[in-house]
Amino acid sequence: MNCKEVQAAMIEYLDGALHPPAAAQIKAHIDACSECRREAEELQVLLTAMKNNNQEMPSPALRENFNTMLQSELNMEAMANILQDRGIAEKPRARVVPLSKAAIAGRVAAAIILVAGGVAIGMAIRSAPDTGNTAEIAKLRTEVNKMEKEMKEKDMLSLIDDESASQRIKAVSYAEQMANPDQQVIDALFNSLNHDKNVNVRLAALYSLSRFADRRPVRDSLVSSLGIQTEPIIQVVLINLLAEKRETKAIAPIKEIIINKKTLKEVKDAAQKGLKEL
Amino acid sequence: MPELSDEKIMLLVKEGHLSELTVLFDRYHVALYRFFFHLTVDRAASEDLTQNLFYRVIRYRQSYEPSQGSFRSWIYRMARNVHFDFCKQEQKTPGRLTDPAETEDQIADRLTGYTEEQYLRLEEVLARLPVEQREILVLSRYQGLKYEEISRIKDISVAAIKVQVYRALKQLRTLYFKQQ
Repeated sequence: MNCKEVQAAMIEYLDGALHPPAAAQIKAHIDACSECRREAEELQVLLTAMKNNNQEMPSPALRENFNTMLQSELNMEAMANILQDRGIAEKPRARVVPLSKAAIAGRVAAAIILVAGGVAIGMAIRSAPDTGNTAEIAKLRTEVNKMEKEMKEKDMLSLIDDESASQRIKAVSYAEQMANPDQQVIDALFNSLNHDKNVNVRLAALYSLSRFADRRPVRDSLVSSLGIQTEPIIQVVLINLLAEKRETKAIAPIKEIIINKKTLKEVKDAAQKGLKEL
Repeated sequence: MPELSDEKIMLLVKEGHLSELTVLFDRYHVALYRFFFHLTVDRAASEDLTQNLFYRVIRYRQSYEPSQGSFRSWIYRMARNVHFDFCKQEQKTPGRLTDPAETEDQIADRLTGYTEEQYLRLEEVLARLPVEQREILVLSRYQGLKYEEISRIKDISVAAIKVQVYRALKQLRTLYFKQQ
């Protein structure tokens, strides 16, 4: 074997990827040729260094940001579904629910901590539906639901001021699972919608609030919120939501958005369209 | 329950089960972060690029076709594009990762406090290679991808990959041992 042939097979030789006879040939050459020996030794240093020095780890922020991004994508999808369903006989929730369940699945860890007991009992009940004692089961289920609700509210209100945006999104998204959130929860949601510095959190809060938009006080606060929002995506979603609900009080703030010079064209288009429906 | 393959999970994501992406993130984010880190020698940028990459996975999930190869080669192809765009954005020619005016000392400064001397030197020298060479070394040595996989990612023959790896290593060796 000459130097050129040896060099061509050098990496595989150093990786131990050659068959023993071929490796033996190369070793024989290297033992005899000082230049190739030097090359082999130096390359070995580099290969080992590259193999061993691959410990760099991302900071926890990477996962956090990924979760936030994923949550915001889920919210956008859900929103898109709400908007898509407009006009289809006042039934926007039917298609939102499966998605929000997907969102919940994505937060398995939190959910496990949050309602571990409740879920376990709930599942046990559901997996044994034929035991006969339906009244007792119904009672148990009510208790479980109540427990879950209380835990969610408590958890939500404590998380909503968390430093991390993904925790806050989690908090405002809990509300969407509540059948009948109290005023404290609604206020917290509006506070997030109007004041959170992260647009994804605001969007998630709006998504949760849209579920309760049939309540008059919620509707009024949504109208007020429209007057202070500047983020295009929030503006569009709010306009669409209020137009869908035929909320005439929204006409004035929508008009203001249209005459505002700072408003994006896309938002103006959505505002014009919404206005026509009102 | 046996774990689902990357490909099956990505198909679920494609069908709209976005939350499933968390599993793929768990499996790949460290390797991909390191891929970017060895190319950029910049932690913050590498985290951003990893984040961008997963964002693109969501955006372009419809383009995923399992018949056209593994999920791994699909996501690495996308990772290469993300890095390429980053180079363009930074107005760095793709042939040169670092600001040409930046000295080895400055590169070393960015890495100080974290790495051992040898690693430090290796990263310094790696950063001096043209991007194609740096990339092939990162893929084959740091990421431990097989030549066949790299061949699918870069869409060139295995034989050509072998030659590229050898040339890159030779160049690395020259730089590494020259100045010591």
